[in-house]
Amino acid sequence: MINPIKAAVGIVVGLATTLKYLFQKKSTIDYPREPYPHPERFRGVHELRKYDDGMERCIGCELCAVACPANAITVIGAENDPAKPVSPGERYGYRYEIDMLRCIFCGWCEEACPTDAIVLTPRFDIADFTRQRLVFGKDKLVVRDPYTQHLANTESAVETDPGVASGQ
Amino acid sequence: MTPERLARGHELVARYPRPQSALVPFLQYCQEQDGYVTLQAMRDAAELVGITPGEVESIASFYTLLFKAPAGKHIVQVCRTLSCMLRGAEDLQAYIKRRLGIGHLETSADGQYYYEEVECLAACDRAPCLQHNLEYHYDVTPASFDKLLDSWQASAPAPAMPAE
Amino acid sequence: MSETKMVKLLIDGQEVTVPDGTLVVEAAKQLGTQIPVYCYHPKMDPVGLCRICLVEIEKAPKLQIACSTRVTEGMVVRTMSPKVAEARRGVLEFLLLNHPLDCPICDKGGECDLQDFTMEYGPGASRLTEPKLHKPKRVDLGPTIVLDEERCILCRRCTRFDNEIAQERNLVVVERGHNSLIGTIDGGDYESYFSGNTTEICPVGALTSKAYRFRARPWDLSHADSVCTQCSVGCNYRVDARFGNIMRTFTRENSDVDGGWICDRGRYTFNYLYEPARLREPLVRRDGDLERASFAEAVALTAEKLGAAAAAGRAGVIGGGRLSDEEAFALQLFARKVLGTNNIDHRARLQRYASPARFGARLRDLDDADLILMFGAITPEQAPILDLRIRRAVARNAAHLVFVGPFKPDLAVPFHYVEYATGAIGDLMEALADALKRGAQPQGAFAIDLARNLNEASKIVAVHNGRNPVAASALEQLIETLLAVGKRGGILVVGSQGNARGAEAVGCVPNLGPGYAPLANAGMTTAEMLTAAANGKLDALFIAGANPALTFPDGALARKALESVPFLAVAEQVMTETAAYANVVFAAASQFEKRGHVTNLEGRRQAFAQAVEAPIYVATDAAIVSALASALNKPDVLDDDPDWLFSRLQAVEQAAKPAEPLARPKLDPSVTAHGDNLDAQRKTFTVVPVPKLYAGGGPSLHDPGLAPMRPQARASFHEDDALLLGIAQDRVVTLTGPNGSITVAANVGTSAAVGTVLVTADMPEAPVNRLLDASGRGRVTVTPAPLRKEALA
Repeated sequence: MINPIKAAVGIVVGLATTLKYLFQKKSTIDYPREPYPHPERFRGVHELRKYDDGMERCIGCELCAVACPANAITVIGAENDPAKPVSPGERYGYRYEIDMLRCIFCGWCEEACPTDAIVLTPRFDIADFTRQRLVFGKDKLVVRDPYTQHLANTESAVETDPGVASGQ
Repeated sequence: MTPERLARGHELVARYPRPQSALVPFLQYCQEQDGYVTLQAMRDAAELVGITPGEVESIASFYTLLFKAPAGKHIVQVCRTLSCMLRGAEDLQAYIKRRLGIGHLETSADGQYYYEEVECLAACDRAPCLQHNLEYHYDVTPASFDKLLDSWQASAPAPAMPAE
Repeated sequence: MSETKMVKLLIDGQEVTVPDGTLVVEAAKQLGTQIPVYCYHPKMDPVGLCRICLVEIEKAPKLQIACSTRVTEGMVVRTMSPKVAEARRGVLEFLLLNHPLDCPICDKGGECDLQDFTMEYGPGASRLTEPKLHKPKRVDLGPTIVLDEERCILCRRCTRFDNEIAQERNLVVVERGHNSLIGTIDGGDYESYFSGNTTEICPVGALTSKAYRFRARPWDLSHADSVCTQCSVGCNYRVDARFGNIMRTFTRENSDVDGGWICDRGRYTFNYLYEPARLREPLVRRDGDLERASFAEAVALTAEKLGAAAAAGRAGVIGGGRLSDEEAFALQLFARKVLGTNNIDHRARLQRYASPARFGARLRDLDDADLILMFGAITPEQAPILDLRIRRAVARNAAHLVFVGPFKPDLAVPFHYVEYATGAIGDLMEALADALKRGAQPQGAFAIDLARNLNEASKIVAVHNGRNPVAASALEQLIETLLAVGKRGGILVVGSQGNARGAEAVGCVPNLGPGYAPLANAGMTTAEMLTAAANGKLDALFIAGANPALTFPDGALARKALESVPFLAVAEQVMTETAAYANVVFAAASQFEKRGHVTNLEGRRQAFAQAVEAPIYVATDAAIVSALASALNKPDVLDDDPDWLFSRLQAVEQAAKPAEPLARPKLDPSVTAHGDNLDAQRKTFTVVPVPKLYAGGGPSLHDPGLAPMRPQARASFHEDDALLLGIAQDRVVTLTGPNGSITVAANVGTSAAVGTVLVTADMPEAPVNRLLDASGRGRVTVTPAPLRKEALA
């Protein structure tokens, strides 16, 4: 037999809790209108950075590819044209692809990179309709504006001397 | 190869038990004539002693007193090893370079002076030491160098290389 | 041989017994103890330059270098003591002082000795705070190599290779001390047929190959153990591929064959596979043009025409020298069992025999030979790695080298040159054999000389080009005579194609079946088939891996035959001069795209593995002939599976009853053994085709890696003749024979004999076979091209 008083109290207590949270700060966010507040070391989509002079940092050494535990990275290097170099030094990443579906966002590529070219940004929203489009090439990975890279990742933006890559 | 050079070459080869031994004397001879060891001289030498031109280059480039580009008539070599450095060779080098207007391993525009900083000239007791062609000059200071320079300009340069 | 004394020593507490005189580093290797080395290389003399191999030897006051210290009885060696570790750390710190931190972009990174030993023995960090020494990077050292002087640790392996192994001595160390650089005279190109080996023995990434530059990292590569088929030596190599494309080739030492080296032609010939000239699908001639077709269509058409011709007994098959043993076996099965004809011949060149009938030698026999007789075979051009053995034998063992042939070749080691027209060699050899047998004095200064050499030598190896049948049998007689008097010796025949000997052995000749079993009715030779085709007596020809339009001596006949034969099917990897005449062209797989066996010039059968997949519409030659067999309703005769073919081949070879001595492949009736007399008036000149390593049609023509080394077609004259004709060096001349003419630039020198003109062979732009007859002889008149006005000015 249900005790009607007990039930009524229960409803009131429950509604009181509801009422209390109604006036508290919401724990959900209005995604995508509102940015997702990621932790500082959040590891999201990769980015290939450039030096401030516009040269690509990537030298096509494939160390990220060999470090990758998911085999998600494919790099093909090529020789720089001395008249129109893509990166400092002799070699550059002619092709650079990351299969975002395979990537486990562990960040080892970032660790392995000798020139701090590949970094994981906080961006994570890369849903798409085909698998093909989720294999990111240089068109999607290379930072377009050399100055935005500082905004995208505050860590170690210029800590590596460009000379290391060029051997100078 | 000119006939006289060839003749000299054969003479030098005959002097040693193995033809290769005549290589450096022959190059010295060629340098004496041409002012430096020309590419042709190296090829001639290779033919003469029966080795490849590459090997001649290897040997010719080893010896710092065999020049592979035209060098000045006056070869000025200043010691840069410890004793001389302690006794002020650094200042002397800077002075000479300024005075002659050329740097290390360079020849002046008029083709007169060639300047080089070299390792120990074995005259530590009278450092800093300077070698001009075949002559040693001891306890050189910027002031005494000026005097030396005047005397060199006054007289014809002594041979740059010991006769082979 | 005298018995070698064995000595016992202790290395790290383990006892090992090695022959007296062994180096400590080699003795340690036997125990599986690795002593790090840079300058030391097992194939070269120790020099003790790098000091990384320091070990502790009891009773020696200081550490000793293991690479030049020879073992002694009771020696106690420690390779892992703290003292040694400290010394290694020190040496590595010095080596790394000026070594750039290029590892991420260095082609050697991942397989670099400096990297590996630094990881294993080196200090973690450098104490150097001053800037590193800078030297030129990206130095263009020639057509094949890029040199990074900064990375060089001056171990001199490359210069010693060029000096000791190649005997060319063009790559040297210039300057001195810390300024030392690797280089050539006046910064010129380092040109050698063996240059690629220096990139491989370089312990760091200083010498890197242009073909492989920045294309992959070592860990990307899949490896396949393969055998080079660019010439008949059959060097073992490893083919490294990435994403199904060949990136590079790497030596795979087989001391009996290649001694751990490969030549540049072998090393760099693979990029033609990715060129537009590569055939990727079958072509069928429709309305006069070759057009893309399906494999089924090509097979159906070929089967119909070939079957009809075979039924009338008017079909022929040419080829086999490019194929594997299995495929050559399949080809002859196809000819004999499917087409029912013995008209099959692999010989589309001047070569007539690919093996000696008796007294076959091994490549190893060259090592301790004291007399090497080269008969017409230009080994640096035709079998470079064999030539390395000769160079070493001459330079190290003071072997006597005699070249007998129609011109003076350019050899790296001193040799005795005997000018003899190709045809006349046979007479000379007969006379010599006679002289040796009977003790009679041979005629002529050279013959006397040679007879004396023969008398003095205890081991004689003859290297023949298999062209002249009289010389071949005379050589056999000569060796027989020598063996009879207690000397040792043998004959090597340099094959004209990579698997010429294999093709001969599995029966791609008109009168012999597999295993040299003589057949009752011999078929037609290549020359006979081409003559028949030219005269309308042959209805269909199938050519697999041969290019008679370019290489058959009588080019006019070959071209006429290919033009007039009603149906021609060709299986090739790239478009060739012959394929251009075809009605059907099959796209054939290269040796990298199949597996099987090949037989080298000494008769050694070597297996090779498949390195990459063939493009989808490309079929192996075995698949092509077995598809044709199926289309001709004989599917049981053949299979395209190499294992099936190989077991069949072995069974057939075992059952074969070869004649004793071996029966020889049938000769063309036109072949004459004797040479052409020179024109004493010097109105006409005798043509001598000269092989060049990088010449040829097909793959070598289309490979971009070989393009910088490709020779120019040249006609070389003796200087006296040049004077007579008024020709200067580089003057363009037209050589006109009875059947055609070519126009080439002239060389003037002393390598050609008076009255002869040397013409670069197998050059599609100036085919020498326009000037020759079927037995390889030809006489031409020489007309210098008129000088242009600007040239006169």
